[in-house]
Amino acid sequence: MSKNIFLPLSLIILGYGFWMSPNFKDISAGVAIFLFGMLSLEQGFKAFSGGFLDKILKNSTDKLYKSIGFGIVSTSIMQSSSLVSILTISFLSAGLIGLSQGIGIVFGANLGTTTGAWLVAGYGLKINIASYAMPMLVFGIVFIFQKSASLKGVGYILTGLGFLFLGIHYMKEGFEAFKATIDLSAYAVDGYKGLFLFTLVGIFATVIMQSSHATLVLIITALSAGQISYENALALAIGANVGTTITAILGAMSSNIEGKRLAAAHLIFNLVTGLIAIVFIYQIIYLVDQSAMFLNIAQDDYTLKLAIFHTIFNTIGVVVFLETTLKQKKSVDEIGYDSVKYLNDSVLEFPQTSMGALIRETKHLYENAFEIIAHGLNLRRSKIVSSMEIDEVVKEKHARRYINIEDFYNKKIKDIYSEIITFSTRAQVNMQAQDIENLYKLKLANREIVEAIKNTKHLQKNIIKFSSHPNKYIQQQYLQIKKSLAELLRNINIIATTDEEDVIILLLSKVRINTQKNDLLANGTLDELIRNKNITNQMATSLMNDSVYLYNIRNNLCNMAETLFVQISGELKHIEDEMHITQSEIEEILEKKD
Amino acid sequence: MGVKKFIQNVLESLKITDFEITSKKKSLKALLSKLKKKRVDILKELQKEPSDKQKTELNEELELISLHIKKGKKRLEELKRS
Repeated sequence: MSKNIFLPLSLIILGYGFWMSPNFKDISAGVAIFLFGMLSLEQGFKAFSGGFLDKILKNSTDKLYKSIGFGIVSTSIMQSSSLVSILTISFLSAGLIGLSQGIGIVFGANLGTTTGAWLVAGYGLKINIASYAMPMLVFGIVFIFQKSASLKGVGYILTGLGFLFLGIHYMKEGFEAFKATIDLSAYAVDGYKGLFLFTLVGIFATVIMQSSHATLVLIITALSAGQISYENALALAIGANVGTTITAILGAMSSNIEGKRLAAAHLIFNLVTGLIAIVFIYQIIYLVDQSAMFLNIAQDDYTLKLAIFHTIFNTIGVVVFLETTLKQKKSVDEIGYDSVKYLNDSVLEFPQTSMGALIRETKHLYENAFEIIAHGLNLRRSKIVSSMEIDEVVKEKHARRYINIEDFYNKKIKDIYSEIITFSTRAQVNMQAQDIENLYKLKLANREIVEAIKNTKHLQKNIIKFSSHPNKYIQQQYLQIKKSLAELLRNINIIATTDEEDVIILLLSKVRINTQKNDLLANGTLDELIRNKNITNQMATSLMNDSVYLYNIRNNLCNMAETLFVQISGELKHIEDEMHITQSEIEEILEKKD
Repeated sequence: MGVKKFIQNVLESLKITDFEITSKKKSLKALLSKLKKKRVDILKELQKEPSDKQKTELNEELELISLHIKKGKKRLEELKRS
């Protein structure tokens, strides 16, 4: 009900706002153009995923210090930490970088923004990036019309940037009316009360002007004119640092969950850094004075001292967060409970609608299972579904530590699975024999998903133990297990997303054959390793057990894919039974190879 | 007359009782044509002297395609006869 009202109500409010205030119209248009720019930018970066840009980003952000350096350099060049944050969100959304790399870049961007403070304080420089918007749009569109995918990608990136700048320009235009009302001297208060008040003013001013640089110029002007005290100016600078995160938050609105997490991390980082700076303001002021003396800066040259302050407090922030980066990443990565998306009483009335909802919910369950299995093996989902070589996929770690599968199972699988089973029982009442048969198959597919996760949990223990074991033979076998599962997940993803019936039929058969081929007990690998004394008896037992888990996971997921993506909902549902590869045919093919 | 019987009578009178068979035949024919095209493509690839690894992969795929074409043709014949 509330959802139905929300859209027309929003449109009415917007329409009324446009009619009443031209400034409001400019601001809204600015936000809309800005978000459109984000979408275009993301599309542009997607054109380069897996290619040249991917390599550059990977090499320049694969270590935390490198991503911080990347953030510093790019912000110093572009003179806009907001723009760097937005670009980072686009990289994240396009799957070009991971969250931890994104956080590193944002840290670096905060440090890089201090070069802006020095330029403004020292030379009164202000680079107006918005003036590039129009040429970027024109060049971008010319590139978009080209046939080459790379040129098209460049075109989308240019138009994306152009729209971003244009959007910011309109937002600024719209806020011009409010800007005139900002009189800093009216708020001058001493002590911590004044500090907090001016921090809030700094946040507000930066949100309005969409630029921490512009706020810095305002602060320096007010400071030179004696409108505010030196301490108040420092608080304003802290506020500007927090306020600048609004652009990234706006940008994250159109991005995926990773982008939103990064915007949250950016906000947390700048807020905490700001709080530290306020609490230790007098100690930092002392440090600024000492640094000014060391740099031969006059004690009354407050503008340059403000730049020193800006550098010191951002450096303190980065140092503090370097220690806690992993903990923070863990907190933003913290898994929440997931619940059913499609099952509700309104679809129960008709067999078709309840069946449709159950199919969608099972697909939802599989998406969660994919995440758990991939991360359980410390593999990155984005790389599994990319065109990257499988050998490379298994080399790229998802995180430093393996996830706790039990925890993920309890939060992302258990409730949904039990809801699906309960809902199926209720839906069955109104169904015909054929539908009941399909429902039974679907319930089995759900069970296969759950079984696959449980088997992965058992497998994970030895994968952790042997993946970096000094015995190269056992290490190789566990690497092979990871590769086998990564390839399986990739193939299932293709089956789930393609419309080509021949591709589906061939992939399903290939997956079945590979399951037999990868069975270490059947293919003689285990015997050979024992015979040649390459592994200990204990290792052999582990490998034997894990070979069974691998075999089961492959079968679980293959059966699930056949039911969920082919037999029940795919185009092949009429003929899949006829084209299904039999066990004897698999054996025949494998015998020929031997 | 029950609903089921009525539907059965209507289907018989309109001669659409073999609807399921017709749609199966149609799907099978479409699939076979795609598989045959794929077989031709792979044979062309094999003529380009690929690396040993690629050659093995292509041969494996070719074997699978041939198996499915054989199965598809056999099933299509059965459907035509029925």
